[in-house]
Amino acid sequence: MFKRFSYSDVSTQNQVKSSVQRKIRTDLLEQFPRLDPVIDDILPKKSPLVIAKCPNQIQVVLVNSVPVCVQSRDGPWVPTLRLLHQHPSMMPKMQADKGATKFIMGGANVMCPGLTHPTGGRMEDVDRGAVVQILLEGREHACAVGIMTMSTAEIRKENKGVCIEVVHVLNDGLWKTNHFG
Amino acid sequence: MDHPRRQRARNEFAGAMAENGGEMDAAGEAEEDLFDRSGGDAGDAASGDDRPTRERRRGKKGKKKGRDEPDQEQDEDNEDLFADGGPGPSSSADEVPWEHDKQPPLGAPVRVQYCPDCGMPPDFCDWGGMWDKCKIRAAEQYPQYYPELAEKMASLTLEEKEQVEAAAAASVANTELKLLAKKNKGKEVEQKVTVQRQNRKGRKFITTVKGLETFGVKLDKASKVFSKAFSCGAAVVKGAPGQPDEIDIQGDVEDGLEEVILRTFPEVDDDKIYYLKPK
Ligand SMILES: [Zn+2]
Repeated sequence: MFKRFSYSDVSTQNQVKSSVQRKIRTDLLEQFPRLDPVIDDILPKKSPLVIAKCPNQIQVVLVNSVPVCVQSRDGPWVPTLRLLHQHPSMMPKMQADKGATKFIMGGANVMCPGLTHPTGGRMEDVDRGAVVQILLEGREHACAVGIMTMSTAEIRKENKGVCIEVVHVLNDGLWKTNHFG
Repeated sequence: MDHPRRQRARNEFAGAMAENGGEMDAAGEAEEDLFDRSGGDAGDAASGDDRPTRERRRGKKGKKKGRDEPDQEQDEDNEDLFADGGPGPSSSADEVPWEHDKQPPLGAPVRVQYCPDCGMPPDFCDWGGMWDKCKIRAAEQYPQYYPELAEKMASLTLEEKEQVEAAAAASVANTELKLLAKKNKGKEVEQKVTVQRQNRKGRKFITTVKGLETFGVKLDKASKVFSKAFSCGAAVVKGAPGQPDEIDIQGDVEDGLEEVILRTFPEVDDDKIYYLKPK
């Protein structure tokens, strides 16, 4: 989604009203309940939130010009990888086997066989639509974040096709733009 | 390997896998991981309801033997895994449960030391686009992520090491050159100014000037110059996303514009000013 993104793609950057700010906060906590003890560090009450609007109805929430999470249309909030690396257990982990590395790092969506791979794949039980982090066999840090297009049960049953829509991956445009402005 | 419980698990599992054909070694390795992680008794393996994903998947695999293609792939990968010698960075994570909600509550943020060269997490340096440079540091500081590389680098003689470093420097210079060339090329191609008259309402016009910045002219300065020269409003207008900014001048000033531009900004090439069709 951010493969060819750069800062010049941002059309507007606006400080949001406090009601919107509260809404984002509750949305994030609802999606990632584990963030509760640290939400004040992630979205400090004192610093204003800014929303940057990007093409294809993508919104990026900025705190002090640093991107925190992104949203496409009215989809769920997806944290940036840098935020995820700070709190690695904030959301479910899905691991694909080594063979999937070059596809995922190239920006491809995750396919079922990568996750069901007997030695390299690993899953947590999640529903369709859940925001998950994507790990790769043999590596420690998450390499991407995405949205499940199938539930874990469906993945086990069907075992083919795309199961995670990748939103943001290491070294994509959003990763390289750690400061807006 | 020498741990008796683990050994037992391994044997039991090997028996279970026998029907599945030649993969037992590699699969046994994985299963060993599983036991490490659970920390429980190996005898639980058969009933193990508290470790759902793996166990269930395994059961399924036994039943569904017809899945040809993925299995072949897996065979190859298993060999890979084995060739690496198994103990990757994952083995250290095996003591903690995998599920994110079974981790300790979130506290102080983890500060990942991103690579100072490519900016990637250290275990992804090989995807950072400057591996020739990064790999020297990677082998020294992060052998756990790159066991093969570390081994290889450690076995090099001093002379060979120098060669690797020279190659790294050369490759870095090369990529920098390429980047520079790309930048300059982009600049040269776009060096042109366009002037276009736009019809507003009735007999009212605005004149849009684009591309002055490609000659290094500051747009806010230029807009002031125009406004003075033509005694009218002139403003820098934000371009569409991805597009450079432009200057809008109120009124139809096409006639005198070229002269003003050339007089105040001698760096602009008069062959590079184009008049577009009014719209
Ligand atoms: Zn690096």
